[in-house]
Amino acid sequence: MRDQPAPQFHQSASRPITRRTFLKRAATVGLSLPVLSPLLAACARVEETTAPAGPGASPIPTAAVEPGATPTGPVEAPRSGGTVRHLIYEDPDTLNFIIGGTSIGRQIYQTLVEGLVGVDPEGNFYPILAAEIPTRENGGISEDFLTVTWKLKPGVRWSDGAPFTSADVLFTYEAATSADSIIADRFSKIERIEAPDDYTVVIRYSEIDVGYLEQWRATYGSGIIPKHATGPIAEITRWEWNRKPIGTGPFKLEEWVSGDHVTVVRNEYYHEEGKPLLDRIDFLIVPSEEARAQMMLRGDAEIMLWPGETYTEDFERSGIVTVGLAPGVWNTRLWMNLSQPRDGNPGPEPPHWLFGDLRVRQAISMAINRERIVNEVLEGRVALVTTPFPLGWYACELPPYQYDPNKAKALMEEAGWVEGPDGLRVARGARYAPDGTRAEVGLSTYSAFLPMELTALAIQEDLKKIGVKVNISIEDFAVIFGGWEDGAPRKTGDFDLLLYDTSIGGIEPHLIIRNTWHSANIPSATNPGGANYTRFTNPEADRLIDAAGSTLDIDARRDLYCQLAKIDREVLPIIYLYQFNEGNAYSRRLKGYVVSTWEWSTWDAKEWYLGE
Amino acid sequence: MLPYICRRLLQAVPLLLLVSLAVFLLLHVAPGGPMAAYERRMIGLSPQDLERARKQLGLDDPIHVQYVKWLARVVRGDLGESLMTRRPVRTEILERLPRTFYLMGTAFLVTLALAIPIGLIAAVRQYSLFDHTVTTIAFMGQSIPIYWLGLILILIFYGTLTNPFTGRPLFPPGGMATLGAEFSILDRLWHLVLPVTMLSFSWIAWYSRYLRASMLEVIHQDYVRTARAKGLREQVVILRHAFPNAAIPLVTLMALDLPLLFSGALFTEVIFSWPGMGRLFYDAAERRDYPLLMSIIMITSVLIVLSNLLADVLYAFLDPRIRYQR
Repeated sequence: MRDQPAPQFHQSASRPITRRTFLKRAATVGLSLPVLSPLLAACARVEETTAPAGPGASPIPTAAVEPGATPTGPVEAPRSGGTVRHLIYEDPDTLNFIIGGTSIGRQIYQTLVEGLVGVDPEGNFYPILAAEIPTRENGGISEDFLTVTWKLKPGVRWSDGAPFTSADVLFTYEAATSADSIIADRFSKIERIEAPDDYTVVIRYSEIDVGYLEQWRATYGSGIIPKHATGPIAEITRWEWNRKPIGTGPFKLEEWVSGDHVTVVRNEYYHEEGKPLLDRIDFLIVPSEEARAQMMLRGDAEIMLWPGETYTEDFERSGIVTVGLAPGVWNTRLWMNLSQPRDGNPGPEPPHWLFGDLRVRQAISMAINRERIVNEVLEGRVALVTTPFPLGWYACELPPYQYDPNKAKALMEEAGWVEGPDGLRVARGARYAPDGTRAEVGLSTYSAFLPMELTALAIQEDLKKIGVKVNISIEDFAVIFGGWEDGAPRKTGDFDLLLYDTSIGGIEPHLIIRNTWHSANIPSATNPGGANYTRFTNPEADRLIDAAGSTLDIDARRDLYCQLAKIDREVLPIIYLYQFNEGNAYSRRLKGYVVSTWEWSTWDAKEWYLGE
Repeated sequence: MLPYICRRLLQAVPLLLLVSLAVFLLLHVAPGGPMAAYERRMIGLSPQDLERARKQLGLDDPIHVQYVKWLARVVRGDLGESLMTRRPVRTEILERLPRTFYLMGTAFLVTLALAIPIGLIAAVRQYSLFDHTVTTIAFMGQSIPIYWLGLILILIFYGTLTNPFTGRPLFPPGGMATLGAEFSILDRLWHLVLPVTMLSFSWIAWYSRYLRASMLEVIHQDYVRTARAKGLREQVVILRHAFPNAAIPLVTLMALDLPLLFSGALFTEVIFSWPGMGRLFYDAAERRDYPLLMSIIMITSVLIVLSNLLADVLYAFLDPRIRYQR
């Protein structure tokens, strides 16, 4: 009885239709859609201007792309007023960078708080809250390099009108070295800090501190924070200031609705006449990348951070949005574990069964076809890199890597890895592996980032050609970058190959160089924060690093770092592949914006204005 | 009934304790941790700095100590502090909760308003064009990946179509209201359209099919035939006699969905930039913000237990044939 239609006791106009009939009719409608849809599309707005992209907007990275390429187009007279909408993908968490903070928070912070100095797109320091950069010539730096005297810019006011004085600098130092601070270490060489008057700060160091300028820059630190508007240092995690910072910057924070947006408005007390030009900046929190891209294309936002290649093309074609590129400090590297993994010992001994042998590492390096990765796999959107230091005052050029798979194979044979019957190499007389061991290794990289996955696949192919089998595992971001207690493989030394992009750390590289190459910084239970993941141990390298950290002589330091780079190339714990071009997408209406490798996107926000 | 409810509530306590232990262990044993954010995003931190950060976050203690500390705080009502923002968890949740409630509540009402008539009519006019259309669309609604649907909605209704009167996109790309504009009900409704569509699409599919099946069962019962035989109008037969009985299972289904009003819809809130509970959970999970995660999960668990109880009680209340033993 169930397979018949329900008894129709009511007067209904509809006849029962069988399912078959229905589906037939649906198919008819479906097939007619290709005819209907162009008609529908004509109703929708589809004008895409085909204005050719200006020369400054080329996505092809060349050495000629200067850091901070300005957008082309007629230069208009700067005008005051207007709102810029800046798209960010997550909430800033906290705006107190002494106790925490993220890179998204930095974009906002840089409009609010300043340091004593900043760095321009060419990589040179310039004074902001300081009257001038202290040097030996102007008496700012003492003969023995251990005393630095800062003269502060007079007449500066905080965004609430209170005057800025040396007491604020002293307070900043106290807060930054307090128990809850996570940026304390960079001030560890300061022995004494005094303020003889309202506009002078004298700092005495216990030993030469190469970070004497960088530690007072807001970009990776806290900048100068106000004594009167914060609170007791013991309660630093509970300051209201953390949600609403008061600073000397061109803007001040008006409103922060968690998860939705942050609004900053002009700081009337800003110490530069006539600046900032804009009235306000709205930081809109839009987690979906697709939604952000659509907003840019529709003119509902003026800046979008780090669009992937997916959108760069669309932006270029639209004529509404430009992608400003600058060579980035983010380098993709292949890290080889020099020590034995999964032996319960995070230290450099015993050597890795495969990568412990230098010849094998050389073979791996020669087997990887970098040109193909850069030009074909990643379609020329990245630039080749042959050195750990490609940018900045410490840039050190090294000869290009050799690509020679045949020589690679010969090296493997020489190292005691002979070709097995299935093409996979097997140990026979290898230095650190018993006979019969198969040359099969794991490679980990992080997920949700296409370039990493494509690079991993390319490397897998290249190494297969020389008889090394690579098993790729794509891990969650938090796994790759986890801490020692989380058992992150790169910390405990339980990996073979790691692939990810990393940064040198901006204009003052010493900290990260020390972390990465010094043997004292191999992660262990006693040093869980160490970053020498490859377990690279070289006494000469240690000596060079220590020497570079003990002098302020830029040329001497450059030379020392270059020697380190050469040793690194000889020992080959890390293979450098390519560097990303840092880029932000911005509307053609946004003028005065210059992309800088060394600073965050809002570093020149006071110069921004809107044109046509 | 009352002893039954008491018994259920008492049973819930050890259950929730077990859930808290299991979730805590899983979160901490899973690879990755809150330090990843520091290691990666805050370049320029020395090993010593990272050490301090870790101690500060209370990640130094062994795991069982961390659990006991957490439990001791929770029973006193202190949900702890978010690792990332350092604000009390309670503040974070209370800030986001109304927004999710507003979104999910609206979607829920829209769903009911549409699903009930659709399910009803589809059952009454079984195998009609209406019924077939609705069933097919419902099937699609349950099969289409919701994330894809959201992106398509943005692409079409914001990215492509334009309002002919204003020259601006037809619908906004997300958010709750237009920034900087005066408060206006119309503006709020305009922002609700796309996310509510995305949410209710599969919800309506679910409910209407359920109601339809339930109605079909009831329509064929003897007492319905009796009512017709007595000469009652068809409308009265359907609405006064058939529908209330068919709706009982649906009501219990709705009760089970109530926790969603708290926990929100993750994908919808991410795609449409809705600053609600779903987003909070998503952000917290990404950054392994343990205190926040534990609190959200435990509150959701409590709500699920309670809503299950509510569903059972409602069922007994509405259907006199059901009675629970002591």
